[in-house]
Amino acid sequence: MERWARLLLPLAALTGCGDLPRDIEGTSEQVARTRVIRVGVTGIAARASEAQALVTSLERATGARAHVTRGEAEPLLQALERGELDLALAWFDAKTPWAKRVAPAPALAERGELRLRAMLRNGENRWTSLVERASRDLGS
Amino acid sequence: MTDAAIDALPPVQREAFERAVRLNWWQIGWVASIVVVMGLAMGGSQAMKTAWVEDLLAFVPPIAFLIGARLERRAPSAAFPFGFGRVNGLGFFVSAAALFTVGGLLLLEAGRTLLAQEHATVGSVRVLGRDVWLGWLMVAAQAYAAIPPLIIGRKLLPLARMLNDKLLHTNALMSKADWMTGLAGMGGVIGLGMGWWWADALAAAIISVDILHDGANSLRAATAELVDGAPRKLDDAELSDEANALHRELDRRFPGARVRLRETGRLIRAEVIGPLPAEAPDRASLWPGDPDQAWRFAQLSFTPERR
Repeated sequence: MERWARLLLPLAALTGCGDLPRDIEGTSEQVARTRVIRVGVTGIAARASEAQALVTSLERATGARAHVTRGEAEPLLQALERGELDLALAWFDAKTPWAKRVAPAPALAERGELRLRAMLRNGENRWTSLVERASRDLGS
Repeated sequence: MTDAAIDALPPVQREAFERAVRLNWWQIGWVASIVVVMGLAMGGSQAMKTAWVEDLLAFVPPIAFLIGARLERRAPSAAFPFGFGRVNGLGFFVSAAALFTVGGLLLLEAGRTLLAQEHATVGSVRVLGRDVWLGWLMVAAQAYAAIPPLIIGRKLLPLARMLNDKLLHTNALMSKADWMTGLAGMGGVIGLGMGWWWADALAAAIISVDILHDGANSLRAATAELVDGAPRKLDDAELSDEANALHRELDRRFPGARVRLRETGRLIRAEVIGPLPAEAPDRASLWPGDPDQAWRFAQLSFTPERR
């Protein structure tokens, strides 16, 4: 019994603080500090109202301003992996192999096998949760 | 009395055996529920997928024991004149291999994560209109997965000792591996939530060493049994103290003869090679250890020296 108490106490303490998850590379803190969200977007995705709505929603949630970079999907995803972007918006195949190298947020729109969605850097779990919530609100 | 392997057990051990059968059925039920819960919570996490494969491997020892228990009730036949007592030893080998595999999988996965410096993404899910971090569901699933093996493992150990059943003992070790992996997994997910990408893999690597050690010991003992090695300890690959004492006693009673001991499942069998004794000795009187364990000395045979 005592052993269980010892195991569960720190867990309870952590649950109480509500500070989890945090980002491994600190994207959320960086957005809060610099007040800038570095967004990469492809030309076609930029024309979708859902993509614009997501950026606006994130700006509102964080109080930061989006700095948008236009580009092709793969260079944007590579920049995302390197930590030069905070999210990349594009139309991706529903089964894109990039889903392992970066983290896909819920789809904002569908067109056949294509999904309009934000991709996030792996391990940025607080930031991912925020973008996921915003995407779900818009997707539904 | 059908001469089935199970008939070698005295009433107290027979009762322990039946209890072990019931406990193994319960265990299969619990493991199945754990596999379902972990499967639902694993999401895209590779570490959770590994934990799930380990939970699948936890089926091996109870299934091996129950198959063995079923066969051990069968009487010897023309096709199997020695009966099915050694099915337990075969199950021991299979379970030891499964335990070793669990340790190996865990270490490989941890090494891969650390080498690749993999930053695991654990996002959120929407449950009843609320966004919940999937990590909390994983912690809950791991906690659920840790509790049944903790309890079942503790219940298995005394039965394994009473029956000198190495398959049951390996099952208890597998249960230990399961609850330790569960706790490490919980620590790892919370560590990931703190932003420490290496926490999960490091916890898994440390625990995998302990599991590999248990698995290697069990594999050595199981292999020894299958190739007619001398009897090994219940919890180690070292020679059994009781068998060593029996060997010394047989050496004393039959001077000039060569004594060979081997183990078949729970039982010890002795062969004395040399001059045949004038009258057959009473087996129980030769057992030097705890009289409650004398049933394990199942066979004493005499073989004339080759001329």
